[in-house]
Amino acid sequence: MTMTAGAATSSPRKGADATLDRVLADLGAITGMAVAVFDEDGREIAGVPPVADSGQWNAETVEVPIVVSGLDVGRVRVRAHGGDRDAVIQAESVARLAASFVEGRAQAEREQHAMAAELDAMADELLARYEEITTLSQLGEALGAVFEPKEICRISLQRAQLATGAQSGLVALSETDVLSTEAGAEDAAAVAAARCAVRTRRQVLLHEGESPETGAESEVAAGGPLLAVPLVPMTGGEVDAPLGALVVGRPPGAGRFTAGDAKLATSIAMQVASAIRSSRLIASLREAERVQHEIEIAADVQRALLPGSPPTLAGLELSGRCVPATNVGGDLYDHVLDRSGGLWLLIADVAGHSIGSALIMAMARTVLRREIADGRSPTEVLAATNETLYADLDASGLFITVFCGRLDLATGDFTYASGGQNPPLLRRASGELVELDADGMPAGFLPTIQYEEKKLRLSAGDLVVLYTDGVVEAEGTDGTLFGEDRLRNVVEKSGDAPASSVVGAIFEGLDQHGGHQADDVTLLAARWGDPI
Amino acid sequence: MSRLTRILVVDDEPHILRMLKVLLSKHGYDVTVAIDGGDGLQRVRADRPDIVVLDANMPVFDGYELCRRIRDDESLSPQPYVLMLTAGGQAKDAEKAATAGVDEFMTKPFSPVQFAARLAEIQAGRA
Repeated sequence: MTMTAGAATSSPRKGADATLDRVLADLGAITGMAVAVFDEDGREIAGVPPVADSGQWNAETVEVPIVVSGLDVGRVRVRAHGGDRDAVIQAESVARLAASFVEGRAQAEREQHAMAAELDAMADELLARYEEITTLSQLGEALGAVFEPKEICRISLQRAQLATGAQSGLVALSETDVLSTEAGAEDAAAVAAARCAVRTRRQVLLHEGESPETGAESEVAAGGPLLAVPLVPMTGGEVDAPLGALVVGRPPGAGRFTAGDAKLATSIAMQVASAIRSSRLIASLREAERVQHEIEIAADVQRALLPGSPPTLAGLELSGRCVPATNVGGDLYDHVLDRSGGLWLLIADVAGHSIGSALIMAMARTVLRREIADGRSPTEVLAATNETLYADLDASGLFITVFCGRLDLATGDFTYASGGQNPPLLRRASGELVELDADGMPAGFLPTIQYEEKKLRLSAGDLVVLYTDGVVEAEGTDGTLFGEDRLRNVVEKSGDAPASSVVGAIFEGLDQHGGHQADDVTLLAARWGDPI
Repeated sequence: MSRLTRILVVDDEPHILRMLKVLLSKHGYDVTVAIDGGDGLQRVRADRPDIVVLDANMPVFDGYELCRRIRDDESLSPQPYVLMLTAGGQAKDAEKAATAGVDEFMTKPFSPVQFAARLAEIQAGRA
């Protein structure tokens, strides 16, 4: 591009501006005057006739300044035809004409330059946006299939360095106020900048030698330019606490980071934070799913521990049911035949209904069955079970309430003992209701426990109902407990109904009472017919 | 001292053209531009660029044809490095580009930073 004198931004050569040469030539031909244009340093740019000899300029010479945007950028000189007034006025007119031509062109060129500069600035801005969009879209693509936080950090750091022209950096995640570097090099200044970004929730732009104001870290100065941004996930308005920080750095002597770099890094950080949050969410969902699966397995195992169909015994009908409040329960009932013609009725309740309670229950069942197989009496069975399980119960802070009774199938003699279990109800064929109470503490209270042994004889038509506290403590929709009175009422009215019907009627009563089942509910009923 | 690496950018989108010109000028290249295949061929012959960055789809004749004509022109020696930019970026386009004599195929959108970095590599390779 050829510069006119007016632009005065480069050093124009004479003859370089053909248009100006032509205009001056025409002007010279018409007026017969010598016309020349000089730049601000007094160098001739164009002239007619070529008048390098300064001797041509004399007293008859008229000089007019060339002014562009208020700046004096050159001169037009015209030599008048003579010293008289008319000749000078004429020369001045010609000089003004030439000057305004140069000024007009210079002005137009300035405007053109300004417009070009503006367009370049817009293109620059467009480049920055283009970079941002591409970086974010590539990052999104790269993070799409990654769920491991460390890998997310590694990929993001790589992209952030590329996009901001950084050579170093790190991504740190904070967990309960501790910031740990997941990707990149543990540079002291970078770590301090990361802390500062997390604490202030703002970007930290450091020039070489500067240090972030982070109190304890205030002595750490950046070796080269540093840029730290907090990892804040995208949310629907509410501002979450930063999950960590992204830091990029350049070597000493390299150019400082710009506001554009900070903007880009912030966009990247937002995407990284969202990916990290999703990854944590997925991990916790997977964990919950895994735990749920294990609980279901435990529930299956526990169901298998409950007795199957009751044995068919002449003169005796049995029915039991256990409904845990959650997947796994702490209740147990059992019926076991021993080698000396006795039928054992057991019911127990471990505090809580967690996996731990279920495990203790499984152990208790094994120990109780073993003690029964060893031919012991009910008090001996409970004492031995307590001694065996005491250490485990004590360690886990759990205890077991348990009732066990042995029914001599030949005589109808029922010998029983209880460790803090709700006393079973005996409904005599006559309609009389008896509580089968016996003194004893729940297993797990003391290392050694003495149990009271009680004994009575069942008559034909008698009904024994064993139950856990989940029955009487079931809370109804109106807030009242199901209670012993309701239970006694159902048992009292059962007449000579089969044991299974009595169990069914109690569950029906619980259903009618309504409410949410908060505890395991377990029942075992036995109806004594005629001894063989 | 060797002259600046000269890059010719051929694209019918004025804003892409301006953007690339600003980007590459900032990175110290001597940049000339052309707005279609025909214009592009004239500029290649006149300016003798070291690298030609061309769009795939352009009026008069497209980027593939422009590249073929550059390759067929024996007066152009040494031949420029030809980098094609395309919005499509499918496998068959890349194949077509390779057949036309394109050295490198890049898809839009591209990262300006990565683009400049790649050009620096190409420049280093040709030095």
